[in-house]
Amino acid sequence: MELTAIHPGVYLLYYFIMVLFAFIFSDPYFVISFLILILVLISLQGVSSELKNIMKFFIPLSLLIIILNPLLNRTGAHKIYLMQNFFVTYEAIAYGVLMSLALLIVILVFSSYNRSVSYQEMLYIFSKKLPIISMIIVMALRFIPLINSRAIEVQKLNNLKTNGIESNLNDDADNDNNVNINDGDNANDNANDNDNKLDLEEYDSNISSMDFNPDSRVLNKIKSSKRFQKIAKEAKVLGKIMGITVSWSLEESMFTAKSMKARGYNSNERTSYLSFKFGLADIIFLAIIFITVSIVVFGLIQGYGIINIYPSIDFSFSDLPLNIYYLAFIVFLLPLIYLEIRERMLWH
Amino acid sequence: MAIEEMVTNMSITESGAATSSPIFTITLLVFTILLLIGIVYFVFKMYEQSKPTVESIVLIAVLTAIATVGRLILMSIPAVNLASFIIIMVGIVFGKEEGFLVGALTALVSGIFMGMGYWVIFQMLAWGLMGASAGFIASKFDSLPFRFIFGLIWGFLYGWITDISAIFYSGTALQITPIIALYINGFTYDLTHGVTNAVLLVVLYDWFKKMLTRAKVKYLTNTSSNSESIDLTK
Repeated sequence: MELTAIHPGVYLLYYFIMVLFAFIFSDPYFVISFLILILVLISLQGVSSELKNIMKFFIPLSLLIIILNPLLNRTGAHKIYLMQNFFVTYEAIAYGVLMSLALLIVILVFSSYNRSVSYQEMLYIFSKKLPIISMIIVMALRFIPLINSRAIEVQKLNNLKTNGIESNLNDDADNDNNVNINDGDNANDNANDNDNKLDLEEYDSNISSMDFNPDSRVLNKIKSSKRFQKIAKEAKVLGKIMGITVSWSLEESMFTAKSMKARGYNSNERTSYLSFKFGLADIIFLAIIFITVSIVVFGLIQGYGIINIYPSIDFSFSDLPLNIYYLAFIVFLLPLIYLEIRERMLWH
Repeated sequence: MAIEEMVTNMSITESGAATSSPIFTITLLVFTILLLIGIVYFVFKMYEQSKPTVESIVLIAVLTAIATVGRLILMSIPAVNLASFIIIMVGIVFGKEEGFLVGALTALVSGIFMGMGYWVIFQMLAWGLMGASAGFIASKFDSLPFRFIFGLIWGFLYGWITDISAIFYSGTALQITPIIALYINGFTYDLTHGVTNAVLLVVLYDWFKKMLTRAKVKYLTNTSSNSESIDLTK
């Protein structure tokens, strides 16, 4: 049980505003303090393996943005000449860096969101307005492992059929035309090949469309190359496994539907496993969000937090943002960090 | 040199027109996302209001699960997924509404596994439209070249729709060069996606159509015993 349980709706609003702020602010002081506070929050919540995967995608992308933007974009007053006629602009570099920082912040905000709001809590918000859709999502989440296990079973059967016990048995029992048992390895290989061929031919006649008569010469040439054959074979096996799994799952889920009907689904309103009440903590949280956001937005209208990059950058590191708007922005980012720390204090 | 100058001039005029209002970009972004959420919510609500039967609910759930598995098992190979193919097939066999629902829900459910973000809403729209458009022109899919072209085109359209989510970064105004770079960057990805779709639609179309039609007949017709015996004979 969480001691500081916040209503998921409040979380949703808070994270939504955070993402918007990540898009809006371009003043480096604001952006960097945003980044630092988000990093603190995530280190308190624990780094997930998802985040590591996302970072693998993010790092090359941000490098691409930082390098590509000055090369493609020659706007800006401050030119930096790298060669005689070749220049990049200071503004374009600044824009690329800020853009990739914004991207990083958005990714971190969503990773933190996935940590603090579980999908069940999200469905709890959904289920008020869209009960059937959230039911479908829950059922789909249940079906995924089932389908996965079925696919594995079909794959096992397929392996058994192509190179398992069965083919050996066949050799012993009813093969008298082209395979000698005494030949050992070779014979087995032959048998396997034969089996595969038969299998694929059967499959072809079942599946591939009858009206498909391709231009024979080119396709035959492609077909005869060995690498293509291997890939095509694997793809065919994959397709077969997929088809069998799909039809199996469809059949099985019919029983699910009948069973649900028999047990009286839809006769009563569905209730949620989780239940949240709007408590004092939520009201305080909302009040903090409301006050700080209105101050920050008021500042934004006057131009605090945003800098003009093109055509000429109007920012120097010497003018520190010591005003109420910056303070409100920091306060806006603090509540979750406070909650995390308090939770630790209570538990330890 | 000439080209370089041209690019310089182009970007100057482009940015000169729009730079003055970063707030404009933000408003555009917020409205785009709200509009997309509105569209998806509207379709979901329409489905809820039609009072679907239990069979229909379970069917959509299982098809969503299949498409999600089709996306998750091939996650290691970029741009190749089976989800698009299944969504198109659902659109063809079950109709545009089911196609949209399965497409949108596939993006949402796989988002739970792969990490949620605001880009999920763009994926929901792209896949939803993929299924719905297949439902609109379901009768034409019997011709083979049409299937091939449809799959190929949707590979690109999916990429373009989802790339919209990436062009809003940073507080300055919209610029044309990052967008071009983004779309050029995604070309091979989209091409692979499209070719996968097209090949699957050519090879596996008949089999899957038969299978899904059988499920449709068995699930969704009220007088199931009669129509089932009629439809399965062919």
